[in-house]
Amino acid sequence: MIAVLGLLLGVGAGLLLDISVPLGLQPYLPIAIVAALDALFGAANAALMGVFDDRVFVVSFVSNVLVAGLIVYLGDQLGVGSQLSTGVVVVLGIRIFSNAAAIRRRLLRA
Amino acid sequence: MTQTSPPPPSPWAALRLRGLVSLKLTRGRLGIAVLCAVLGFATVVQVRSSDTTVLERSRRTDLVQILEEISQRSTRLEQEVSRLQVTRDELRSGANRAQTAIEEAQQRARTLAVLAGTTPVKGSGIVLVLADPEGKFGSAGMLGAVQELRAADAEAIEIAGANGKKARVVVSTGFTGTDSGVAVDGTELTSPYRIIAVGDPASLAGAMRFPRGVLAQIEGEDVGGTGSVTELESVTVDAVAPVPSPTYASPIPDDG
Repeated sequence: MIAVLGLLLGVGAGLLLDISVPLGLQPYLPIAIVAALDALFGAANAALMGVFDDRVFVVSFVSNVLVAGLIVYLGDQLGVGSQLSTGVVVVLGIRIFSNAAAIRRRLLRA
Repeated sequence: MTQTSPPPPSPWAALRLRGLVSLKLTRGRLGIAVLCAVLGFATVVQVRSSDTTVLERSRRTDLVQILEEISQRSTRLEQEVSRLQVTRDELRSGANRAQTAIEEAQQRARTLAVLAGTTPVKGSGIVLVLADPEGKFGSAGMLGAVQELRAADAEAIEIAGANGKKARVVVSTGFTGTDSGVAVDGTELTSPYRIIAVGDPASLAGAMRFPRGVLAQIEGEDVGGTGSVTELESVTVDAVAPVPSPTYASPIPDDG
């Protein structure tokens, strides 16, 4: 519940404060968001399985975002930034899908 | 993610069991809230910046590629512009040529109309009055007078008779003697004749006056008539020759 509240708070702040993404962060932010979504879905799945832990969530969230950003940064340095970020998005997307499938199975038993 | 531990009786019950539905604020929950807030904030910001131009979000290599495409396109467009300009210039000069040709043709048509005697003309010239009471001057004398006028560069000649009829003298004009005087292209004229010629007045008058010339002939003893020449700044030749329409001949068109 507190997570939903925090999410709404962030969305509200983003809507109210008219902030554009800093130039240096522009390649990383979309990947970071997808990584964070992956952590969020994993946490939701863990909560439904009854193994949710605050510390694990925070650490996985932060590390997910950092690793995703690092991979994109590395790709940019190697000159394959766009390909690598596509790859990261694909991998994270697959993880999000499998988590969502697990959540669906648990909630709807289907 | 997909562990196969025995599921609790109800997933909602598990959540409630762990107190995740409650709003009680602990340190761990605060962290979750902060992270979720950051996620929501970042998502909104990113979505918004995606609305702005594509170029701002593009990488350097993409930008270089886009720039290359644009410059190639502009090169193509410039080539097309120069091609179209060449076409336009060609069309314009073609139109100019056509305009010039039309003007030249009109000028020629005016000149030819004067020469063929199909249009009234005016200009400096002389009026030659020849009285031939005995009819001895005749068609031969009239032809001689016209030849002298032509030799003096008369551009248009008209002969009017005392009976009010008049005739334009053109290239094909013929003179015939009649009982009452002279017939010019079939138009019977009576003495005294009034000949109007457009040209340089001095040279035309000189051509009439020279010894054994037209005036000398008509005033001579053989003819016994009278003649007079008047040089004028402006005379009008308003008789026109009929325009013959060719029956057998047709012009060969220019190849140009």
